[in-house]
Amino acid sequence: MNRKDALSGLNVTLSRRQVLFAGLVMAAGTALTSALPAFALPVSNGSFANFMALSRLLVNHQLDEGVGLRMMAQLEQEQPALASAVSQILAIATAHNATTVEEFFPAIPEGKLKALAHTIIFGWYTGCLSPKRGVKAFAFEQALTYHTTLDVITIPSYGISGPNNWSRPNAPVAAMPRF
Amino acid sequence: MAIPSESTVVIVGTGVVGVVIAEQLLDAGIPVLMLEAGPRVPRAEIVENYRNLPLAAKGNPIECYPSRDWAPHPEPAGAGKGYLQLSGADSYAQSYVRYAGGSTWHWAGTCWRLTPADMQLHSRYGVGRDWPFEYATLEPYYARAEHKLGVCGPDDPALQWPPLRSRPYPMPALPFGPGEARFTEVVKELGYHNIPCAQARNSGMPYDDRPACCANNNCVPVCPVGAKYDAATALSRLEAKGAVIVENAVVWRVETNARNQIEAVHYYDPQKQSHRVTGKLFVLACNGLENPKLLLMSADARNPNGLANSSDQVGRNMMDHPQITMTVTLEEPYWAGVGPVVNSGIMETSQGDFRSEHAGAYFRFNNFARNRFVTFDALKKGLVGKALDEEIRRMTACTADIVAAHEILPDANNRLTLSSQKDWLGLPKPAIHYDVGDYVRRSARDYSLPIARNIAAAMGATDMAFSKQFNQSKHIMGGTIMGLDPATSVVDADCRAHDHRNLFLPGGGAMPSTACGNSTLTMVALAFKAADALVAQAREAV
Repeated sequence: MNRKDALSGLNVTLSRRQVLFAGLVMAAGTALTSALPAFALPVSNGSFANFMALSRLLVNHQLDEGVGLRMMAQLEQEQPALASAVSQILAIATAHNATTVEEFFPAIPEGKLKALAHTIIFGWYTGCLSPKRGVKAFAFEQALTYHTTLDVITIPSYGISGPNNWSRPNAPVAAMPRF
Repeated sequence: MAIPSESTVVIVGTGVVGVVIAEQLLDAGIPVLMLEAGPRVPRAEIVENYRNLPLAAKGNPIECYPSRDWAPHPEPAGAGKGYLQLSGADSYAQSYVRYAGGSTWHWAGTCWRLTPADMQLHSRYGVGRDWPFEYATLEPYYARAEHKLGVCGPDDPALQWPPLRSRPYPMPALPFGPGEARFTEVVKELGYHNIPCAQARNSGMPYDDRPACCANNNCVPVCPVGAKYDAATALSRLEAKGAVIVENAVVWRVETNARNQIEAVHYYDPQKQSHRVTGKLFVLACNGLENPKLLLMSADARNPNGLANSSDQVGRNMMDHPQITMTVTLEEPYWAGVGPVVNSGIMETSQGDFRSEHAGAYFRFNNFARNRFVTFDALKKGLVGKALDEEIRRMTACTADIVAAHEILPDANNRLTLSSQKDWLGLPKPAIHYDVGDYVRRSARDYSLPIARNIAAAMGATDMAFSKQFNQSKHIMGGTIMGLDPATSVVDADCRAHDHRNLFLPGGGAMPSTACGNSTLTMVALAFKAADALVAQAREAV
């Protein structure tokens, strides 16, 4: 399949698996929009599919599309050329046949594209786009920082144990939970 | 319902001190009207405020309590920005909540008692002030306070602070999380005892119509389920007993009569309309900063330096527990964040003959989940993928904050005055000049930080960093100090103003010494003592 029409003039070839994956992303994105709050809707479905596809390549975990939509809406306000930049990074990933971030992240050129990639990762882990106090959060429970330790640490304000049921052996650091 | 313009007892403030006194009066059949400067807000709204804060703001407990224009409290943005006008060598940067329920909304629930020695600093060590009564006098009020708030604590006297008790705690101590358990083992090798913290949190059972703690690890800034006591949990019960609670009522003047007794208080509503409420007895329980501010604002011809201030001590002797935080990086995982946020402490280091030379200190392992402290640093390293996950997890597990909280002496130069700056209602903002003093600085240099370094080494720290300044513990004390001599103190042993027999100023402001442990339980004990005096005096007045 030639993605020239879909991805801003890029001319790269996708594998069958990538086509199926992209189709699933598109379908999920379409289905999701009907359930999302109105403020999250201005982004176009095609751009959103690309954004989520890139997010899943940058952050190799299960990602909540509602969070993605809200993050993308904020990013678009900051970066009018977001869609183009996303497509460029996606093309790099595709060119490397990447399925994990480690496989293509070093190839992203320093500058705006690398900064955007870091920002998207930052967003998924923190639920906001900056370490500043005054920024608007778009995720709390889904912020991935909490998921790296979810086998041990409660997401603050939620409980994972019953009354007085938190005495436990010290958990090893090496056993990363799947999320 | 029309708001009454008179009551037998008028209480300004609906924090823990105000509601405890109100309930004692109501139970004695004495009518109570309570005036609260701020709004009455449901718990769910505050929890949602917290969840919607950006990660960088989640560490500031005040940020999910936005001030109303008419009732500012200190906060980094909004109506309360710049509310406290601070000067001096150290910053008296406090945090408190002007909402119905007051600052126990965002306390940790820690309920250490004072010791007998803590109340006799002058006679034993030649520094500070003595209390006008001994521990034995205060002890029954401590017991009442613990049962009212629902304080859990250990049965074993060896684990109690201090083991001088007339009644057991109403609930058993909460279990330690893995970090506290490991910390306890490590400091024991140094000869220190990390003991369970007595705390106003339901342990393993419901209490006072509130559920058991289930380790939400969010006691500060708000317990999402009300397992931790906060005064907001008592408001409906007070109303059921007949209390009238008026929210958004900012008392700006206390009025005296020809006998120099209190005749009325005046409050502004959010439309800036003023209202007058008369009564027989008055209680100002509106925070350790707001109380002296209101007394100074109420100066009149009979009391040109402010009410209750013939001693010139109103607003002086402002105290807290100056604290230094040591952040350690460890080789082994401690996993702070399992269980409540403060669950234990080393108290024995607060006692000793050294207090003639320098302050004591109490050490605690902060049990806040570390994710919000470490995530930005991990991301700043530019890591991605598995390396990023592993770094966040490692730093969350293998870093910890150890806090050294110091006592401080009353110093008349640490003073709250009225600023020329005005708030939204046109009322003066509080100005506070503050210096922790050499007594505290010597402790940090010669005593507390050396102990902290030893603890860090025993924990196997590969790195340690100390806060660069003394931070405030938000335990506001001293501004209406207690004593037997009206020439040198503001209130008597019942927190009654020396100058106005029908005015009570209970709470942290009355405390003549701070010790090292958190002040709330002592404030509540003083509230019970004042309540007994109020009930007796109200019956005289009828």
